[in-house]
Amino acid sequence: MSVLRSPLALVGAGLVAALVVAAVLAPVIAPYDPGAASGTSYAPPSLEHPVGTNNLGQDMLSRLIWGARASVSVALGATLLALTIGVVVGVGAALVGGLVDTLAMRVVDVLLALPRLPLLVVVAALAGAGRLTVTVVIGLIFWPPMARIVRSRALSLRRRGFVECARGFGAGLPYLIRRHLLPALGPVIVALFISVASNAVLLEASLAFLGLADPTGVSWGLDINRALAEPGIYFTSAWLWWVLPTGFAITLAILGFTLLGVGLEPVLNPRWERGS
Amino acid sequence: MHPVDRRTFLQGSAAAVGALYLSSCGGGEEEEGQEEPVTLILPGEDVGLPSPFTYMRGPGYILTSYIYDTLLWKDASGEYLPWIASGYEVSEDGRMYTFTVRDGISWHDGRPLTAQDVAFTFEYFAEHREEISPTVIITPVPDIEEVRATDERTVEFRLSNPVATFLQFGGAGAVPIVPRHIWSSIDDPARASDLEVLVGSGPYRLEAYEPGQGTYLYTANDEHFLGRPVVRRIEYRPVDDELSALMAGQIDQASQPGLRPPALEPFRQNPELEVIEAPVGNNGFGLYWNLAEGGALADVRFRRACALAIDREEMVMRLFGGNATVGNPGWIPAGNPFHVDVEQYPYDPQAANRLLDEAGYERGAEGLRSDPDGEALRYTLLLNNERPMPAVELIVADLRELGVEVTPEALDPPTFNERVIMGASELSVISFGGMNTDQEPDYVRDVYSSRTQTTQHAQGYENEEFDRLAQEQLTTLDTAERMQIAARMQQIIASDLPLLPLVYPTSFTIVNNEAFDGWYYTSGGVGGTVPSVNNKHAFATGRETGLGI
Repeated sequence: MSVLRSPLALVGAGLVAALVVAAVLAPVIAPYDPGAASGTSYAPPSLEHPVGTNNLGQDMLSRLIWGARASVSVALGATLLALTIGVVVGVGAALVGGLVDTLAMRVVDVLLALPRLPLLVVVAALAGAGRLTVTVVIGLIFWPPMARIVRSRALSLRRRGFVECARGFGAGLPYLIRRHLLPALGPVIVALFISVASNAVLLEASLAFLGLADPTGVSWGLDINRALAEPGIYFTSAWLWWVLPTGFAITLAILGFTLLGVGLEPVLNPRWERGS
Repeated sequence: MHPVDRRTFLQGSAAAVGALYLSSCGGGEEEEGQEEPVTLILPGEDVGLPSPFTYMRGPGYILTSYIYDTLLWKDASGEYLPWIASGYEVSEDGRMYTFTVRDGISWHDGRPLTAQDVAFTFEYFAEHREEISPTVIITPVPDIEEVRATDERTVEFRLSNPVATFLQFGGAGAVPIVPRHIWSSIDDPARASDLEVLVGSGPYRLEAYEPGQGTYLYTANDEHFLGRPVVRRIEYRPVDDELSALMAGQIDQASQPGLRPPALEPFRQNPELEVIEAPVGNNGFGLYWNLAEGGALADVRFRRACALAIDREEMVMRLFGGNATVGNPGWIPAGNPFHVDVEQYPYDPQAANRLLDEAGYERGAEGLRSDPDGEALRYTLLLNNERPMPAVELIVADLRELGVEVTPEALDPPTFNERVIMGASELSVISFGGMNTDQEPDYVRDVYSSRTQTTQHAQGYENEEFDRLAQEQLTTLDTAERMQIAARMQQIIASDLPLLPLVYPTSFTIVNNEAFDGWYYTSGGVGGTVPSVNNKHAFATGRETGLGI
């Protein structure tokens, strides 16, 4: 793929790959149980604890690795959910057209107008902030923009010669979708996947940072929330290994997704390529 | 390793701000040579209009006390000094109090303060009891049968029964005296929101207040009966982080319970600052079982086993680096005159397991226990998400070892308070404060009596003997006798254990001694209720004890 020639995309892909590897292999590579007090409180980085420990004496490296797992699982679940609904609604609206299309797009308009983080905060406060709730709500927040983009792509595809042709030969809707639309939508879907996953990572961390998370869970946002709530944290050195690495982890994860998205742009957006 | 922190940075930026400040008012140096008037800048939060009927909580009471004086007032020793009253007499049966109002006291508007104002204040509180904001923490005891000004200088109180707290927070020691000529025309005290109504007789006047901001400005009242106040101006200014703002010189005081030794170190090293440590028990948090839920929660053996299984010593070390005390199952902390030693339930997981084994709570799959009826010991633990409690992780882990599964649920404060007060809870972690003030042992009644309904009350707990003793201590004037009753109350609650105080973090207030060096911690709390170093007695007189007049 030509994408991989872009150094930006390569760096992005590398970061995302590292994130996924950390998430998948967390139980194997994390040196300690992230919830267990494995050292003294506030221990600075050492051989036993390469990133030090937090107030409860939990190993920060293990928490960073397990935090990746929380981020990736929420991001993956939410993105798949958003993608499924978005593609079904978008393709459906484009192909069926008429009243269904109008209705679906008006619903999308309304949902797009809702502010995301405040909505999430309200839902999490009312329905509890379990990981499943957060995943589902983030998924539900991101399907409308997806549906809109997928619909516009599908609309233009519908008018393309090969689709018209297949229809002329009597191809049914399911066949059309499977054989022609989905493959042609592939690049868009990949781009949307990356953008939503990046947003989901950030939203999950933001919610946890606001204290809306399982208090005994492991999450980057929750670690920062804890650290900042610790009285006088900045008058000790502990913020160096408690706040900073966690902040870096979030930044790198988002950066990875963003670079990958930017790198993929020429492939996914033909007009962009022509213009350059 | 040399600690790298923001201190150097903050000091640098403070100097820069200071330089800017100086250069911007280079012209105004007419006071040169003269001593700079003492100004205190304190961290602000909005605690309402500081009228005796609208302020919010303890900090609001302090702000109100600057403007309004009381019949008696405390100094550093914890003694109640004659303040508006120059003296008082109590009848043999403890039901009749006669106060003599000090001569020559005037209101901020120049009118004289008389015995009629005192009588009016108590009548007005009684008449408007329902309308006064629930955030107001000081109201007179309801046992005042009659209050009467017999002449300009004498006021008599007749109580329906003796009340142990009448000379403290229940009456003379803390109820702010308000002017009759202002309030007699105000029907709804909770709605009076004009600064003009805040006419008091205290050492300070309120010059400015921004609702919702947390900014208050007080200036000295030179006509005060104690003479010109030493501190000339008190300014409350909201800041993001008190500790950083103090270090940067923006404010003169910062408070933080349970600050760890390394975080405290830079403040101890700074020669301008002084760290004032309050006696144990200014604040704390505890584990509550809702007894009304029945099952294991109503079984005292289960609650005792939980207490034995939770390592509170570890919480003290892990969460506060040792700057805290293990919570006392008898509530009242050591050091309070009413404290007695009670069962402590020291960490002993083996004893905890043995207790549950004997009581028929058998372990099933994955070590989870069930009660004798076969109900699994699975509970939800409610938390207030605005008060982060890393302690929860330790509680969950310790109880898991005991075979009890606890799932934390963090709620926003209003929902949390509602659930707790309505009894829609199983386990909860709740914070509280002021366990070491003159309110003891009456605060024990407030928390453990089956007749109270606060966020801190022992949920679903009812013990007839306790309820009776709790009422009895209130009407017992003899201190020795009251101590005996209080001792029995503490033994009962430690044995029944409807809640377990987990940790009492040590309260630290760090003050700037350059700005003012008369700070002291008022023993038993300002007004007998609010643990604070902000006592107007210190600000007005600059002394630790006595009036100096």
